[in-house]
Amino acid sequence: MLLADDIIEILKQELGDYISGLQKIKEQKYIIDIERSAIIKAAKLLVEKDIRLITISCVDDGLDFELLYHFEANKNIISLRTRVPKDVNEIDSLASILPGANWIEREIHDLFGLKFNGHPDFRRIILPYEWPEGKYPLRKPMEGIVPKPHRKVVSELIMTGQPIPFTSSTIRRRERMNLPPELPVASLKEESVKEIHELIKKVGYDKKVGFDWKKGGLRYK
Amino acid sequence: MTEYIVFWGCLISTRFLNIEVASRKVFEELGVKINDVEGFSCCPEPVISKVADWDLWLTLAARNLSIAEEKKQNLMAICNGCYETLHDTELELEHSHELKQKINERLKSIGREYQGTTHVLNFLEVLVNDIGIEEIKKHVKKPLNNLKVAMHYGCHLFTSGDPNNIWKLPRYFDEVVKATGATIVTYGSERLCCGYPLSQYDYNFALKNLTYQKFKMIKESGADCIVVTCPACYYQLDFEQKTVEKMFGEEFGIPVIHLMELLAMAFDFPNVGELLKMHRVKANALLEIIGGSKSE
Repeated sequence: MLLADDIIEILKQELGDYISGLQKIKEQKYIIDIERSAIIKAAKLLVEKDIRLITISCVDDGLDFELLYHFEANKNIISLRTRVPKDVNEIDSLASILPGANWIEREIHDLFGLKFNGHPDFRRIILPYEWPEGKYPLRKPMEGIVPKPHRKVVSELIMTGQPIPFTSSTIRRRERMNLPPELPVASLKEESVKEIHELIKKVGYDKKVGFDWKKGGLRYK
Repeated sequence: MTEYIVFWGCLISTRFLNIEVASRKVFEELGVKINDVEGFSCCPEPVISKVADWDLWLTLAARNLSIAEEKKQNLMAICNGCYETLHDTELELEHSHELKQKINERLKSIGREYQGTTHVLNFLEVLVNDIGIEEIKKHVKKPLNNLKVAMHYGCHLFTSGDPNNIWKLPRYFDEVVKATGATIVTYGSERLCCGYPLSQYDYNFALKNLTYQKFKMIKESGADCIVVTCPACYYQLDFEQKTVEKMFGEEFGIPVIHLMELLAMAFDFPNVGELLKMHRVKANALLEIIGGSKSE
């Protein structure tokens, strides 16, 4: 029988590029953070080593679903943790390689509305027949931690380093008042903005508030 | 000539240009050179950012301090919110070597370092300690003897590294106002917050329980105007005054003046009236009380 350390080593060797974190949260309990695109490969590896799936938990943190695939090996629990952004809302199903995942995934879909691609039998399993379509009792609204009145301020701070933008109309007003039209503030200097972005990423503030760099704003309105 | 790096903050440099104009002229008159430097971001402001993420707040503030440090000059904050952020960051990093090390590891990734050699000053400290009340008095060409003012200190002014000395800056504020010749009238709720920070979370509650209460007491005191040192308080008391009047069906019409504008009036700068025209609550009537200005 393989020990937990051996299993983790195998996962690291085979899927190291997809693994972003490993934690031993207490004796015989491990959490491995893995990209969602590698979840099938990881599950296959574990199944081949006769490691059984206990269950799958789903947590809705407002912006993302956190899925934890709990496996048991020689009285050790190894949980593969992955995140599915709510705007993506789908992940590959394990049901074809692990029949035990079949009902669990259906239950998660009923409660959270998360889709499992490639599931062989995606019927309702836990909600009553009369439950309305498209309503998921444990799914939270798409919301991050920033309260509504502060979202613009937070977005501007992340994008430009200043919550109140230094716009062209500000520059014109400053000119009219005989002030230096463009104060050398960070938002007007590309190099300074880069520095601020780097620091924000280092602190992890962008992830914390749910900032989408491509969109240039928060992932929620 | 004394020199400082100036930190205007986002509100003054984009919205309240009257405060920036007055400040530049007052410091020029008093022989203080203020230098703008490249690359300052938001301080970051202490109402939303500090609560949302203390770590980021401290990191960005330390970056700003590291920029000032490169110039080997002390930093003077005109905005009280910026002062609180930068001053508290200076103290936090001075008191904890581990924290300073952690922040510097982050700053290193952008090629910066904060050593702790720049000292953050509130502009009141510069006025009182570096220039001096007697020197200010020498520049008063039009004493504001007929003007009765209500002091609004604002919460950030009570920021202090020494808990036994929280009245230091408010007392400086009093001294500078007195130096202009204006009379300070008491109204009983000087320390009551203007409502701006709370309004970011519950607008109606803040206006009802703080801003409105303040206006009622100031009106009863018979003050001609409110004097502030904080741009956020200035916004709340000037720009939101009409909203409060509409909300509670009561007229106040109390002009709100920044201390730098009050000094500009006392120094009898030309075109002070132009600055006062930028206020939401009509403030030009104050010039009549003090006997006109050069622009008229």
